[in-house]
Parts: sequence; C-alpha cells; structure tokens
Amino acid sequence: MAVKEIEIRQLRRASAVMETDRATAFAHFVDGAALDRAYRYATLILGDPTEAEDATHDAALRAWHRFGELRDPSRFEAWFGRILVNACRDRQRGRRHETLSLDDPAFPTEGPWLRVAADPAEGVGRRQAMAAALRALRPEHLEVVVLRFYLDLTIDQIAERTGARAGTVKSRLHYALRELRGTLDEDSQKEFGNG
Amino acid sequence: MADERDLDAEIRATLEAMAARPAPDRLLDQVSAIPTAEPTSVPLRRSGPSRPRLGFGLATAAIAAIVIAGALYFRGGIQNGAAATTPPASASSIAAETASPTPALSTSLSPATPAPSVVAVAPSPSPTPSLTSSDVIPANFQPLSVTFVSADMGWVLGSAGCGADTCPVIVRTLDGGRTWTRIAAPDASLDYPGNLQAGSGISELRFADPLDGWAFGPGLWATHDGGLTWKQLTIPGLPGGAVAALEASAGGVQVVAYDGNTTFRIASSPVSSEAWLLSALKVPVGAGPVPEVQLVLQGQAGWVLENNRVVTGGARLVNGTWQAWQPPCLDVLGPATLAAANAQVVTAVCDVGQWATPQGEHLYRSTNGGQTFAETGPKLPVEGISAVAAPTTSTIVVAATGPSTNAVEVIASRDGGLTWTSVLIPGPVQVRYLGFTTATQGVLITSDPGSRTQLFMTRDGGHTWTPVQF
Repeated sequence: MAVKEIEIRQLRRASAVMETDRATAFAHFVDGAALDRAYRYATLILGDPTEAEDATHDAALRAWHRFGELRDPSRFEAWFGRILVNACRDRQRGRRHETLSLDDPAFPTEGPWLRVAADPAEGVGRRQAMAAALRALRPEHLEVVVLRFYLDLTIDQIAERTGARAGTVKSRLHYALRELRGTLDEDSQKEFGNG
Repeated sequence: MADERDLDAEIRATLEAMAARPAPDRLLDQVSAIPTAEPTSVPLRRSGPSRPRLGFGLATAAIAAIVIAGALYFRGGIQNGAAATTPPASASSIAAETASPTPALSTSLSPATPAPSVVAVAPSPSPTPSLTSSDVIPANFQPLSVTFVSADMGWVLGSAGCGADTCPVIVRTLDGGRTWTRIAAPDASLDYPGNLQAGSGISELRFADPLDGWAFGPGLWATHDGGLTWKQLTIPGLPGGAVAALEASAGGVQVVAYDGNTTFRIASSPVSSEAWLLSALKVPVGAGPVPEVQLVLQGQAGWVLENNRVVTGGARLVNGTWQAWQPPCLDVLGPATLAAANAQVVTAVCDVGQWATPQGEHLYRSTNGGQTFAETGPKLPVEGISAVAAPTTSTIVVAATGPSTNAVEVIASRDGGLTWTSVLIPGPVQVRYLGFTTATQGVLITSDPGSRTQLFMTRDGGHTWTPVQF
C-alpha cells in the first residue's frame, strides 16, 4: 500500500477517535516537527526568539482548546498554520509602536539566525542589507514573503492562512518584492558611491 | 527574469539563515504537557499584548512550573539527548527475550514453505467490555511491558493490587516518559511471560501507532482506538492459540503462537483490521522442555528464532512471506539471542557450548538480512545473555550476567562488537525487556527477586539509564 494511502487511512481513523481521545490525536499532530516549523516561522515574523516561543506556545494552546473544530485531519497543517499566523499577529499588535532594529537588544546580534549578517566571508553587506530590508517590511508584507519564500506556499494557500483574498496576497507580495528590491538597489548604489 | 530568480534565491537563503535556530526543548516539553495540564472546558485565553515580554502569563506559567518541576525531578540522571526526528519501528521490534536455561537436544526446521491460507479473526462470542479506567496510577504500579511508537508516545502494561488480586493497568505517555496517564486495560488477568498454556491472560503490550495495539501472552486482545476499548481475539487455524510473541512494523502485525502440540505458527494482519493471514510454515518446538521463541521485525523484514535449550529453528519474512530459515548458531550447542539494526544487519549473541563445554558468549553478524552470519569481535565480557538490542549498525546493547558480580549488567559496544563498555549494573535482577525506539532512546525493564520491577530509559543511545517514575 502506498505511504500516502496509509497516511490518509490513519488520518481518517484518527478523526474517528478524536472526539473521545483528544490528547492522543493532539500529540499525534502537534509533534516536534510541527512545533519546530511553527517556531521558525514565528522567529521570522517576530524577529525575536522569546517572542517566537511565546507565540508558538499560544498557538499550540489555542489549537488544543479548538481541537474539536478540526473536522478534517488532513487539513491539520493549514488549520494550525492559520492559528499560528493569528498568534503572531497578536504579538505584533502588542508592540505596534515599537521599532525593531538591528541595534535593538531585542534583536539578537549573535546566533545562527543572524549568521548571514555576521559572517564577512558570506558578503556581510548584501546579506545584512537583505535581513534589514526584510525586517523593515510592513507586517502584512513580511507575512506573505515568509509564507511564500520560507514555507513555499502557493498564493491560494497563503490566502487561506492569512484570511486575505488571493488578489490581495498577490498585491502584497508584489509591493513587498518591490520594496526589497528598491532597498537593496539603494544600498548597492550607496556602497558603489562610497567606493 | 534572471534578476527575479536571484532575488527569490537571496530571499530564501536569508530567511533560511534567519530561522536556523530550532525550537527549544522546553517549548516541546511545555506543549506536550498541555493536554494534561489544560482542561478543555477552560475558555480560550487570548494572548494579551500587555503580557510581559519574557512571560507566558499566569496560566502558562503554571504549566511551565509543572513541567519544569517534573523535568528537574527527572534531570537527575537523564542526559537530554536530541530526539530523533524520524522514529523507526517501535521499541518492541528490536528486543529479544530471555534465553531458556535448561538443556536439550536440537532439531532443525521443516524446510517446506507451503502457501499461506487466509483466515479471519473471530472476536470472542461475547465481546468483553474494557475496564473503566481511572486517571489515577496506583501507588503500587509495577511496569511489566513497554512499547513506544515514537520518541514521545508510549505505553506501559503493569500490575497493581486490586483487592486480594493483582490486575493489569496500562499507562500512556505523550512526552517521552516524563508524565504518564492511566488508560483502560483489557478485562483480562495478568499472566507470566513465556506461558504457553492457552488462556486469555496477558503479559506483554505492543502498539503499532497511536491507535492500534495488542495485549497478549498467552491471550490476545486488540484495541483500534488508542486503548479506549479492547476486545479479545481468537485466531482460527491456530489450535491452542497461545500467543508467544507479537510485534508490529510497516503497517503489519505479526503473531507467533504455540499450537499446543509440536509447532509454532505465524499469523499476520494489517494493524488496523483483523484480516489475518496464517502462514502454513511450521516451526518445530524442538525436544527440550522449555520452548522459547523470539520475533524481531525491521520494516518489511522479520525473523523468528526458536530456542529450546539450544537453537532449534527459525523463519524469515521475505517479501511479505514467511520462509524456512536456518538461524545462526544451530550447531553451537547453546541458545541465541537476536536483534536487527535494519533489514540487512542482523546480530545474534550465541552462548556457545552452554550444553556441552561452555565457551562463553560470542557475537555473530549478518549483513545480508540473515542469509549468512560471521563471528565478529572477541568473546563478550559477560555470560548468561538476557536481551540484545541493536539501535544502529554500530551500536549493540546487551543485558547479561556480569563476569564477576553475578548480577545483571548492561554493556554496550559502539564499534559493532569490537569493544564493550559497562553502562549499567542494576543489581541482582532479571531483565524482562530491552529495546530501542530510536537510535538514542531505549527502554529496559528489570525484575528483582521480590518481583518488584523497574523501567529504565536512555536518551543517549544507552550511555546512561534513568529509572522512570509513574
């Protein structure tokens, strides 16, 4: 039997017991791999490991309380992904007026997540500029960029996760890329001009 | 267009690097504790923007406190090894049973491999309802059999006093053994491992996945809802029907049952249904008084080895069919204990000359799925093998009697059996079970002379073992 068929069969059967054994089903779906993906997404959106940890935990807690709403287990990833997107948005709203920069202590200057910006051998200027440009994007633009380029979701999948229309997603992605390109070009020109 | 692709690639590379840090272990611990710490009737709390940056809020802090307290309690000896990302077959599939201690003659396996017949499993005429479980784990709970389907999810069958009797109790963990919850158990009596007299009692437990599990030995009970309900099975075509071994792997469950007369029979089924296929292959029990059978599965491959004082016969699962097999050590006048690291690398520890001139424990390895074996490394520095596990092709863990202490000792080799190190001396006990769920996470159950049992777990490939509390 193909692996996919086995997975589908297991998912259907998991659904059957979900009502009566939520803990088993929850642990089955919200496993280490799912949490790791969620945490990395939250790190990119929030730019802070502690915030990312809190947001991921918030999302898992919400998923547990809403687990009865998950009627189709094969849709778990999309369902949990949407909860996570909202958990990150809540965190962002809490610091709406904060401006996070690379000089901010909240944005760590050490650690593997900033390796691209810290290693001169990897072209520190360009990579640091890209990281800074990503961080400077508006939250809804950063959201679609991460969903598109980090999680490799399609436009329709991003629309489902974010609750926006596909056209809106395309528009946000267009403006986000234009913003990134513009920032990088500007940075290159400055570098060229200073050189 | 090339610029577009360059920009995409640059964005992807930058995001990958910015998200390179994995989720911390404490987050995994906290989330796995949610089902037990958070009643589902509690309304969802919103993440308030005013919550302190480093805090989880009062409710989640309470959860964290519980988890951290538990973690600190266990941290005494646990080396916090990284959890494997892709857990292989259940721990049970790698384990071996205690070797038989009494002398006898050897016989060989019937060479014929007749075609299998399809039979159906008949539930017992009046399905027995499962016991109602309480969440409380009895204080006198004694672990008897353990099975894990992933690094996180596992079950333990144990005993606990119930009035003047002893009853089976099953507990389940969702966080790799840190916390346990009681679930329902079959309405069966506890039996002792290795009992080949037909009956409905149970002594062992295996799960294939979060839903499908079996309690057996010599009876056979199955659950297909994660242990909420259990029903007793009888397998038509297996006269006597004493289940001697059961393992699950690759979506299938394999049962070896004693026919009450002269042979062991093998039946298999998909894990989620009861459509059993009874192999017509018969494994003779041999002339000795204590037939003991081992069943080892790895993916689609499997091996049955029968000792009756000495190695007497075996069977091998090839392309979904059980075939006659000449197991290793048929001619060494002693029993063998089997383990498999994968479908190709099979390990046997043989007690050479036990019933003639004792020459100690020797390691034999196969790299072609058990077709041929060759002796490897020096004689093992122990005697009286109880169990063998091979979590990787280079790591072998053996539970046996130590050379001078006359107590059980667990030794491990990291180089395929060339050198050995003592890793645990649990004392004057017997080993009921040894197995690995992943390359690093394993379990061990011991039983002392007073029948008090103890479950140990390792998370570093057998270097350190920590007692598990329930």
